[in-house]
This record gives sequence, structure tokens and C-alpha cells, in this order.
Amino acid sequence: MLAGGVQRFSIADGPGIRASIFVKGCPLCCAWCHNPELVAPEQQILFNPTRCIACLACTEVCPSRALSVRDGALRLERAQCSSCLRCVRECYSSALRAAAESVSVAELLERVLPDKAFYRATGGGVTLSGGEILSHPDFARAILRACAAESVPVALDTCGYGDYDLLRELAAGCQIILYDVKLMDPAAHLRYTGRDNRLILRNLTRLARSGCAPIRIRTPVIAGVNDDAGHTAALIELLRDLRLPEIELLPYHELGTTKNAALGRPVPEFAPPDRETLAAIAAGYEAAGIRVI
Amino acid sequence: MRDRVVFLKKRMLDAKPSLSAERVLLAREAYTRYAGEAAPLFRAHVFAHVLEHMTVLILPDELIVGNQSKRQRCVSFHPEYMSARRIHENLTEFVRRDTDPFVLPDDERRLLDEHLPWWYGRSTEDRMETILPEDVQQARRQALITIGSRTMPSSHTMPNHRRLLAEGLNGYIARCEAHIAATVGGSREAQEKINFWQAAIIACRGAIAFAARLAALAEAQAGTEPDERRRRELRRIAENCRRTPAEPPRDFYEALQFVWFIHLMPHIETNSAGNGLGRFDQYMFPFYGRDLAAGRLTREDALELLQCFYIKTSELLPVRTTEDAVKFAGYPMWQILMVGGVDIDGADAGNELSYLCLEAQEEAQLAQPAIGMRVHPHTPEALFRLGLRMIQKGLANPAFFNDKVSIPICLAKGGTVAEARDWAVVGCIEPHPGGGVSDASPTAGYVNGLKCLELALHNGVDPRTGMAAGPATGDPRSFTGREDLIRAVETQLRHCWDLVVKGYNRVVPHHMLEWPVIFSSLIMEDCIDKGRSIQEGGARHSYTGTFFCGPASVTDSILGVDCAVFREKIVTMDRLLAALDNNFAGEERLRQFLLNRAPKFGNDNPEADRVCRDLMVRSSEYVQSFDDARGGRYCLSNLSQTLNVLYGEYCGATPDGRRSGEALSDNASPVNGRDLLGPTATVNSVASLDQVNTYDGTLFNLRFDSCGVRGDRGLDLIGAVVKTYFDNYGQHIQINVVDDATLRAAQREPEHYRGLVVRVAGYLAYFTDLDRKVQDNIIERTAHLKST
Repeated sequence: MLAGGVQRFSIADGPGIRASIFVKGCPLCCAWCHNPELVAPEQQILFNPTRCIACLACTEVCPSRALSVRDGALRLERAQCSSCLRCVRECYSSALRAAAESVSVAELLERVLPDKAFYRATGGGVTLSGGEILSHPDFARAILRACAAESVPVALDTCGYGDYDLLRELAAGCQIILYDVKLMDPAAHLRYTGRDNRLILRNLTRLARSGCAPIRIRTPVIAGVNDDAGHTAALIELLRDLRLPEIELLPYHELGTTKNAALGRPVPEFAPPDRETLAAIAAGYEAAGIRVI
Repeated sequence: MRDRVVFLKKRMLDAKPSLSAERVLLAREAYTRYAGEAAPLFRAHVFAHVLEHMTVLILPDELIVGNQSKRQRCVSFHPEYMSARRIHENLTEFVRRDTDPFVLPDDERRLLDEHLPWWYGRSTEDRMETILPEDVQQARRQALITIGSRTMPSSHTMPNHRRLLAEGLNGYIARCEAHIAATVGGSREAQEKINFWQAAIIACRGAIAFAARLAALAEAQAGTEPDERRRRELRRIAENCRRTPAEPPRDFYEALQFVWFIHLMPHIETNSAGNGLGRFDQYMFPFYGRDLAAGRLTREDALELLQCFYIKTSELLPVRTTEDAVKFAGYPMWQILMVGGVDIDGADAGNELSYLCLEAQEEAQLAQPAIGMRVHPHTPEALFRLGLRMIQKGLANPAFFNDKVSIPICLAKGGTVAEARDWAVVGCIEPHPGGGVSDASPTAGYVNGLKCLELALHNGVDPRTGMAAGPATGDPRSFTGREDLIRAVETQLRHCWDLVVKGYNRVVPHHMLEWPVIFSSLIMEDCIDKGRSIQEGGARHSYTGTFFCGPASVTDSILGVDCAVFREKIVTMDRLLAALDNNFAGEERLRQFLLNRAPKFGNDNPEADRVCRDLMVRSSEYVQSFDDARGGRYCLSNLSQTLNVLYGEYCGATPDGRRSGEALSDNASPVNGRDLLGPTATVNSVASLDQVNTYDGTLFNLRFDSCGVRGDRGLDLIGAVVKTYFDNYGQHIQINVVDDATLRAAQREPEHYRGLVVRVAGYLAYFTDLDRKVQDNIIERTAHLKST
């Protein structure tokens, strides 16, 4: 299983103190994604030049000559790179890192169990995040089973783009579903994420009506993309229709930009909403009787 | 907060710490007058003479009175402890230095120039320079160890407040008189006891005379005071000072004044720091409860009085040599006031005063006293959350202490079940059997753990000087695995503990025979019954503190060698040693390997945690097998204060990737910036140290960035971290919630951040009082939940 690793003391992905497990590979490709290294299913290399000490050990081990020095600085030709990771093994300063590591369910469990007492004390647990967990059915089932056997509650963080039966099956064993709704307008959704949102909304509707697990809707708030009244109004209508009590607003942040640069990609130019707009959006939900987290 | 408290606090903070010559003159008079008396009597006379003649102050609007020295926040020298020659040579530096500077008025300076030379050669410090063996002295010079009680008495006291409040000092005098009457003289032993009892009577009478002088002053001030309300207050102050500390107090206000007198006396008697206020909410509650029930006192009045009391504790200052001021930066006095915990029957002991003690600090936000909240499984959630709320606000007060670890420690230290349940901190974080039975933890010495690692890597030679500094533990090039290195480090450590014990054992008898501290002794249990000072083992239990600096740095270094040389074999021992000796010049790749590839303590890595635990447990077992000359059990503390910064300057580059001169790990915490998995992992690592073995406690600093712990949810998070740490047998945790931006701003514009309080080690300090280097070190402490 390729995983982006485990983040302990994760306190922004569900209730309490949690550990987030990040899987690699997502059917969506959101332009603002803050985990761009976890979108593609295959291994990738992240290069952070500020950490490079120019020891050039990597250039000596690269079998495909993807690494070279130009003007005293290291360059990575991604077209030539086969992600064999030999350079990463040689890079002691962690300037070159693998976007994901190959780990088993047992190994992941070993990393999240030491914090069990913290989960218990705060009503926390493990959050399966990504990437998109629905793209990894076998892994999802296995980790859910393993957590259940250790009495560790699990939250699912999903974009909803996947097989409904799988979603339903997983949800039944979860503490809470963190369900992302990024854009209500289908055309805009397609433009910004590369996918239509009909499947996402249909799955959400079915899941909510099934009542098999609590659902918390999460929506990113990005200036000029979805911080308009139209998106908010449409989402309020959906939440009321499905009788979902709460929404979590995730204002855009620039954490992902450094990772885009490390992937050799152009850095997307988005901005968080201004304070007043965010407050107005929150007030809109509150006025409609929806709790804002 | 009432206007009076706002005013008193501002006046206290505005008062620049200053020096006075008064005590130097008064003590000289006493030395001349009482020369030739037996030591206990002589010491008591000096104490009483100072009390009878020093300036007494009652400042406008004060309710609790009694001053340490001539002005507010002013300190006098004790040239019988600190070398007068050294004080004299340092006077200019005291004024100019960055860390803990003092103001010295010209007239005081002239008096000191005149009188200090008379004191040359008369201090404990002068004596210690002549009696410490050469190998101990050399180890001190090599920054390998320190030896304590050289420039101050061997005392950290925590009196039996309950008994004092019940009997008054007149009751103590009566007991001494009864002992004298019942003792038939005629033997050396009997006469020594009689001397002690007579000395105790002199000391008590000195304290009573001091209070009487304050009473007279209050009456005089009342005579000329135009304001009717203040006139009434002054008359009440006069009444309080006539009654206490001679007689038992009758109400909460008198009791506070009484406790203040008892707390102040050791600070006039000697230059000691680390005198604890003990379980304040326990021994004060009866007075509070009675007054409240009788309608004599309101909660608000009690809060104001408590805050006045806190401001008095904030006035107490130590004067330290510049070297010591760097080790213990921020004028710390370690006046720990305990709240909460279990009672002697094991039930929750919290009461309304526990809350009030916290609320008083929540409002007043002073660096003293540092509040220690004892936590046990049945601590009321409301009390715990009040403490958390203060932490969340960034007050860095209270620190949390775990009954579940501290009580077993006190049992292991020889306390009875009741004494162990009544435990309190004496010193910084050291748990001791309570009820005034423990003469606790005078500092025997600190050991520079990382220097021991350096010696192990250089076959006992200090690479900084090229001189032999430890036993020859073998050429590291012949080591075949981690265990060889660990054995060598432990041999070096044991050698250091031996030197500390050897040095301190020489120190103790001199305090015993020539510098017994009488008032500080008589307030401790069993000293009067035995007729002996604490320096002679008069207290029921005696302990001696030793301190291990930098265990995480040592651990990471061992693992660095193991990983690079023995396991991954990326470098030979020879080349690693050369890289260290050259401070990694041209070896940055190796340094990056050591930094990023070797396991590090503080990341919940069982292997790293085990290495650190073994170091601590084995050191504890070794040190704690010794007793000093007064019968004091040596106890180990996982604690460095701010000595980790100074000791780092003496250590070359180390195999944890640390460059030459950089600080050691802070107290029991991981090395700054090397705990990368968040606070839960850090907490798990520190909790795994099997802390119950380390009898003088394990000091754990954790810092949260303020934006990560807002609101009720933030409170839950901090609370869960504390509770889980305690469930996993952590002994102590103190949390700073403050963001880097605030600390940096305070560095730039100190005048705007005078009130910013941080926990430096086991104490609180005003951040702007700290030396720049220490400030930087605090900022570097890994801030968890930093916003991104």
C-alpha cells in the first residue's frame, strides 16, 4: 500500500486528538489541492531545493540521469525519472523525498496505536484521508477492521467520488464521515476538479438518507471560486434537504504551494477569502440553523 | 482586580532590582559583637541583630508587610556565603551585565567599598575553594560538574506551616525552654543541644522584634496619615504585627501576615532560594473557611489579600554571581505554592481556597509564586480546567504535578504513607514528604551529561583542552557496538557522580560546624526535638539534590554513533571523530545523516526511549545509593534549569548532529526541534523514562503555539495531553502557550512586554528579564501546533 504517511496529533480532521493516515491516489484533481503529492496514484519525488546541501550524492546513483547540476544548483528532470528512489536513499538532508511510502496495514497500525490513550481521552481516533480512500477498497476495509479490533474509532475523510456500496459499507463502521462538497455548480466543479459532481452529490444523498453514520460536510472556501452567495445558498439547501446539522468551513491556505513547487509544478494562485466574507458565509449557515465548525 | 492590587503590581514591576550595603554593615557589627560564641548561637545573634536594626518598610497601600532589604525589590549581600572579594570585584558587572542586572546607588557603592574588604576570606565560598580536592576543582573548571552550597547555605526549606500557625513562635520558644529545663548538662552532646535551643530562642525573638518594629512603624504612619481609610488599615497592620508571628493568628488576614513573616525570615537569614510555600490551600483553608462562615471576610477581600501576598513574594530576589545568573536566569526564587492533590487519607483535598489561589494569579499574572497543581485521578474537573485555562491564556502557571508518581517517590524516599500523601515540592519540581519533615535537596551538583559522552568518545580526554578529564574508557575505534559506547558513557557519568559526592561530602561538614542556619532549622520538624540544625541532620528526613543535564542530547548522540558507524556503516569511527573535532567542517552530508537518519529521543521511538530511560535509571540507582555527612540521601533530578545553554558552550560538536557550542537538551525534554511527530509522541517518550526511579523529579517543558489551542476544544486538547502524560506516569509537566511572534516582539521591544511570563525551567520568569541567549533557546523549543 502506498501511503503518504501518518500525521499524529492531527486535530483538524474530526473530533478529538487523531492520527491521520494519508493514502495516495485521488480521482479528483482540485486546482487548489493542499496535498498535491497525493493525487497521482504512482510514486513521485518531492524536491525542496532549500534543504539541498549540494553534496551531489544523488547524481551518482541515479540510473536514468534525471539529476544534474546546472549553475551550481541541483536539477531534477522529471520526464526521465523512474521514481526508483535511489536518490532519496542517498539524500540525507531530505531535500529529495518520496511522496509516499510502501507500508502494510500492520505497520500503519503500529504507528497509530501508541496514541490510543489520547484518542480515548478526547473522543478522537484515526482519520483515513488522502488522496481518496474510496479508491483503495481493500486497504480501507483492512485498516477499518484492524482499528475496530483495537477499539480505535475511525473517521472517513472523503471527496465522495467512488463506489456507493463501498462508501456505505465503510461508513457503517465509522465514527463520522467527513464529506467534502467543493462546488455545487457542476460545470465549475468539472473545471476546477476535473470531475463532474453528480456522483458525489448522489452518493451524499444516499448516504445521508441511509443514516448509517454521522456526516459532517466540509467545504473549502476559496476567494473567487466558491465564496459567493450562490454556492453557499445551494449548499444550505442541500444540507437542509438532507437534514445535516453541521458544516466545517476550510478557508484556503497556502501550505500546498510549497509542495506544488517541490513536485516541479506551477504554483496555483488562489487566495483565502477575506475575513468579512468568511464571517458572512458563516453567518449565512448559522442563520439557516446549520452549526459552523 | 482591585485598584490597590493594580497599583501595587505596577509599583513592584517598575522597581528596578537594586543592591544595598545595609546588611553587610549590620552583619559586621554582629560579627564583632558576638565573635567567640558557639556556632549556633553566633549565627542566631547575627540573624537577630540584622532584624533588630535593618530598615523596615511599609509602602503606601500595602496590606501585607515585611521587607527583605532596604528598598522594594532590593537585595543585600550575605558575605558569610558569597566571597566578599568576588562580590567586590563583580560590583560593576552586577550593574552592567545582561542577565539579572542590579541598580547600585553611589552611596551604597561607597559603603560597600569601605566594608566589603573586612569580609574578605570569611565566606563559605572562600572556604570551599581551599577544601575541595583538586580533581573536583578541575572537573568544575572543565564544565563537567558543579558543586553546590559553596556560595549559599545547604538549605531549601519547607516549614511545618500547620504547626507554626497553631503554636506561634512563642510556642516554639516555650518548647525550646522546656527542652533546656529538662536537659541535664555536663556532656558535649547535651551542651550542643542546649546551644541549639538557645540559638532557636534568639532567632525567634529576632523575628518577633522585627514584627514589633513594623508594628511601631505602622502606628507612627497612622499617626500622620490624613486618609481615614488608610489610617484604619495601618492600625490593622500594626495589630497584625503585634500578634504575629509570636502568637497563633486568629483570622485569614493575620494568618497571611504570619505565613509571610515565616517565609521572609529564611531570605533575611541567608541568601537561600528554593524555600517552598508548601500546601498553602491546605494549611490556610481553616482560617479562610472560618472567616467566611462568620461573615468577617468576603471572597473578594480574600482575593485582594492573596494578591498582596503574591506581590510580596515577587519582591524577593537572589543575588548571584554572573556565572550562576546565567545558569539560573530570571532572578528565580523557586517559591512553589502547592494546591490540590489528596489529603493524608488519600481523598481529594481540593477546597475553595485552591480555586482562589489560582484565580489570584490568573488576575495578577505575576512570576511569583509559581503554583504547582497536584493532580490525581479524582481531581475535580473544574479545578483542573481552571489551571488549563490559565495555561491557555499564556500565563505558564500553574505547573502540573502527578500524585500517582510523586507519592510512590516519597514512599521510596522513606516517608510514611501520610507524609507521602502530604508531599510538596521543595526547590523546583522535587517531590518531598510533606508536613515540614524534609530538609530537601540542597544542591550537591550538576553533571554535564553531554561532556561525559564527549569524554567517552575521546578515551577520557577533553577535546577542548586536551587534558584528561575522566577515566580512560578505551579508544572508541576499538568499540564494536552501541553497548561498548554506552558502557563508556556510563563509566564517565559514574566518575562524575563520584566527584560530585566527593566534593559535596567535603562541603557539608563545614556548614554543619560553622554555618548552621538556625531559623530555617527550627521551623522544620524534629530539629527542636533533636536539638540539631538541618545542617546537622536535624530534620526528620534529609535529602541532597543532584542533577543530570542533557539526557536527550546524550541519547541522540549514542544513537547517532550507533546508526552511522555500527549499523549503516556510512562512516568509520575514526572519520566520525575527526568530523566532530572539526565541527563538521566539510562533513555536512554526515551531519545531515546524523540529524535526519538516526533515531531521536522524543519521537515515541521505543529504541531511543529505552536508551534514555536506561541512562536515567542507572544514574538514579547509582547516585541514590549514597548519603552525605548529615545523613542526606542523594537524589537525582532530570533537570538542567538553564544550565543546558551554558554547558553547551563547553561541548564540541556531537554525533547527534549538534554543532559545537549549541545548547544541550532542555531538562527532560527532547533536543530542541528534534521531536517531529507532535506532542503526543513527545509526551509518550518522556513518560517512558520510568520516572518513579528518579527521586528528585523529571522536569518536562512543553510549548504550544497559541493559535492551535484556542477555545474549549483547545482546553480539551491541553487537558488530554496533561492527563495522558500522567496516566503514563509522568511526574511533572509545565506548558507555555505563546507564539513566536510575541516572543520575538518582546525581544525587540522589551518595555512593552515586561509582564510576559514564561516558564524557563521549574520556575517562572519575566521573559524580558532573561538573557538574549536564553530567550532564543526558549523560542527554539519546539512549538507544537505552529500555524502554517
